[in-house]
Amino acid sequence: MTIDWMSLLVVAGVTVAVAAAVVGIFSLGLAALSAGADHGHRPDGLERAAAFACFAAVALIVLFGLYLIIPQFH
Amino acid sequence: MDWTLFTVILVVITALAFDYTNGFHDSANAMATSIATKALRPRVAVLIAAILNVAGAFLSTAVAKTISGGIVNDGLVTPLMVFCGLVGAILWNLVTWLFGLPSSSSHALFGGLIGAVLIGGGIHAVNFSVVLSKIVLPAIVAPVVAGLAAALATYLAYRFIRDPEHGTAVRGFRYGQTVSASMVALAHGTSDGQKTMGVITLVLITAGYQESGSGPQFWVIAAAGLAIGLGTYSGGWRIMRTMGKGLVDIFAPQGFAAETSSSAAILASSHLGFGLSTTQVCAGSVIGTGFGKKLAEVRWTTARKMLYGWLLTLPAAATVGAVSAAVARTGTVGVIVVATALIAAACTIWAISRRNAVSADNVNDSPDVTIAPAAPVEPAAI
Repeated sequence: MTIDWMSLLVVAGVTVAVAAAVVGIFSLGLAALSAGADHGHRPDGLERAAAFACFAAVALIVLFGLYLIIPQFH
Repeated sequence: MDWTLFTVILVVITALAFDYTNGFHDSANAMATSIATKALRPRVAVLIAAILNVAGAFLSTAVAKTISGGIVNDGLVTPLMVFCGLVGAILWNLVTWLFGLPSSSSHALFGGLIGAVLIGGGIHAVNFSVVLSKIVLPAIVAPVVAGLAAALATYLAYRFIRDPEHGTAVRGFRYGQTVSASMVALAHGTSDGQKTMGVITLVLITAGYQESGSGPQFWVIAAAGLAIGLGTYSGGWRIMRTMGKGLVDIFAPQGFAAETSSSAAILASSHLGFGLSTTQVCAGSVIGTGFGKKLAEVRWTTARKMLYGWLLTLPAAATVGAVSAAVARTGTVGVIVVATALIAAACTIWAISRRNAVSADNVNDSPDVTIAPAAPVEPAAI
């Protein structure tokens, strides 16, 4: 019985990396948006831009995930 | 009536029934955390999950080449054995539903088949080393990996944001959850939708109603898709409650982390050709989020019950499959006995569940699922 340890490792690594990346980047985006909320001010231009960049990155990863799911794309 | 036609019709009906139970069992995988954190309302959530499951089923028509992927010797499998295997799987799905325990429909199907084939084809018809490498090993590795990923993701969410459970942050996570939950539902539809289609198609081929090597006919795809969609929409609220509240008291950041980890795990492994149980992966992620957040509580009693259920799935489904096969082999009467017993058992289980019913309206009210009758409401003292 051969067990493909290498593939198992790849799956494990990819899962942890992608989950951490998506949630981490998304959280950074939310952090930017809610920065200064305790001081009562709304996010300024820089914070909004940073948040937008974060969410765009997450959206790209999600789109790649959709590409993987939908067999018609490959 | 022609015996072959009779057994084929029997298998088709039973397979669709299994698909329905598969639907409500796995409804919780995609949506439980979103419902628990109020990111989605219960009925909306199961509607989305149902639509995506059906979409996924239609999208992925690459039917498995063998019913079991090498676990049993397909040359020795008869439609009657498949019927008995399905009986085992359905019964296990119903019992675990009654107790609100998330459990793997895939393992139940494999278990039922193994049991039926052991009786019908002998011990040499089962390939135990494949059982080990394709069922047991992924069953241990996948939830652990998903749990680790979810733990790390949750930790990052709580580290980067000052107050992730309120204000803009929690609203953001709830939006994120609608997307991540949809991903899980879609991934589940593409992977689980084809199980039943594959079973029906292969039985049609072996009975001579279809060309060998051909793909599933449209009515098979539509019927299987509809069955799993309806099952998903019916909600499996008892399991939904356990997955969303019974294991860990989930908040939106944890929900997002859990669903993202589950999608990543399911996509990564199916892309590399590993099958795995979506249920076990999602439960693993949920428990993992309990570790990632300081002071989060994991309800270990419930988690233990669920783990016992996972350990029992293969043997229990196999036992029922084997007993059904032993009875069904005796002839037409035996087959009718098995079918009647299944219907009777299903009705009994459903009746017991009504004692303390969980529905879309009360799913968030408590973390516990019991079969004891609900306590009568005391009239207010005047």
